[in-house]
Amino acid sequence: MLKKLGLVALIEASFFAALAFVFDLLPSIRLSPSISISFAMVPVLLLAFRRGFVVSALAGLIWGLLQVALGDAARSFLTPLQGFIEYFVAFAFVGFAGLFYQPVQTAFRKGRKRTALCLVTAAVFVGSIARYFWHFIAGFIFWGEYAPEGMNPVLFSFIANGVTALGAAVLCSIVTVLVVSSAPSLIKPKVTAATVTPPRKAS
Amino acid sequence: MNNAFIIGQYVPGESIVHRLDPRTKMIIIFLFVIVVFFANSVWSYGLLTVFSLLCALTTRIHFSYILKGLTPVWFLIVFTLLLHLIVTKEGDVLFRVFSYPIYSGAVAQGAAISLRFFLLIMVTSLLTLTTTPIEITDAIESLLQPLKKVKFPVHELALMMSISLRFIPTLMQETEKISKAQASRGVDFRTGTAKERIQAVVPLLVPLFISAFKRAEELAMAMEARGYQGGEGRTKLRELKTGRLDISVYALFAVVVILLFIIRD
Repeated sequence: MLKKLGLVALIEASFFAALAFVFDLLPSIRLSPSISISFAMVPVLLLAFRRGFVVSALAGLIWGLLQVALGDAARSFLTPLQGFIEYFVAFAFVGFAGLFYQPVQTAFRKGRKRTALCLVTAAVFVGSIARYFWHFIAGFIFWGEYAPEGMNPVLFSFIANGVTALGAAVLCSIVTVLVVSSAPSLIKPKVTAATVTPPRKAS
Repeated sequence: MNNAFIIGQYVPGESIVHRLDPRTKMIIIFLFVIVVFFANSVWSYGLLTVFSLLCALTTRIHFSYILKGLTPVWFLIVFTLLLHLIVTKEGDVLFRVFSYPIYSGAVAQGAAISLRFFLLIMVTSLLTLTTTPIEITDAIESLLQPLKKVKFPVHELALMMSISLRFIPTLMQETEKISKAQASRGVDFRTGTAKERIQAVVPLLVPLFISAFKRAEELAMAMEARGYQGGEGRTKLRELKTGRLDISVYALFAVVVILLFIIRD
């Protein structure tokens, strides 16, 4: 993976996962105990437009792992499978925004800024929905058990995660569009000595 | 923001739990969260509660501190209990609250689910209270070693985790520094309409991202200059070792699990 992606890409993913973690600590918009909206996804989304799917998915995965290692996840860890889905899979799926990497890069290269920003918005929605889809699944499978009989866990999980996903997507798309439009160079990876794949050793 | 500089929950100490191999702690917690779902009687829940409290006491961290760390989930635990008391109508009527009947099944079910939830959260919290984030990273890397056979990038993930953990405080300082610099230029993050507040975030984010990219490039250059070539043949500064203490803890946990299966209904 190191040879394929390059050391700079891996380190950028580490830094942007750390930034996402830091942004998560900043005050968020709290609608209810189970619904809070923040712009913490922005670093991972920005990396998706700079490096593509794999690097941003890795950054998302590291962000989830950081929450486990630093104890943030301990407060909502019910079973190993639920933890795996909510902290490994869900956060890595933010990287799905990276599927728009090529079209966004092409649109910027050709000077079609409006098209590029529309694609960025669409990509942010795809990344958010991909992430919250897993929180929704975990919500009704694992947290549903804690709801008393008579309450529909699927509906509750859908409403809680749907509102959060929509709110996060709207907030992150506004912030990402503002950031990308004011500094488009952020999504252009620089070619330096460290980004070049080292030559293979002769056997 | 200043309080946030203390990242993670780790409380330094020299207790038995602190000294355990982080892999032992992770494996036992992994098994505990599975085993807890097999409890189905007062005795089996009692056994798991005693085991969990024993673990918590052995950490030598003040119990009130551990409970304080669970503050965000107290609401959920109490809410679950109350909902069961109101909605579940199984068994005999135990008593009435303002003429509303409370059933024995509701009390039993509500108490069992709330207790299970409490035990799960408390035991998983003990890992991060007694283990440094870097030890957790080493343990994850070690436990995921078998996945190397299917070409899963275990070493790269551990490296990325270590870099992230190392730079979280630096990035926090940088965030604070840039937000103060922007505030001195008149940017107001706390007041104004939603639109104005979102717009105010952009002058904070752009320099932060530029600085992060620059740092990443410099670090990559420094690593390459020192001949970093990935995981093959690298030695470790911190070696994880499973000792007698770890074996004793595995044995104790095995006894608890066997007892649980004997006394459960």
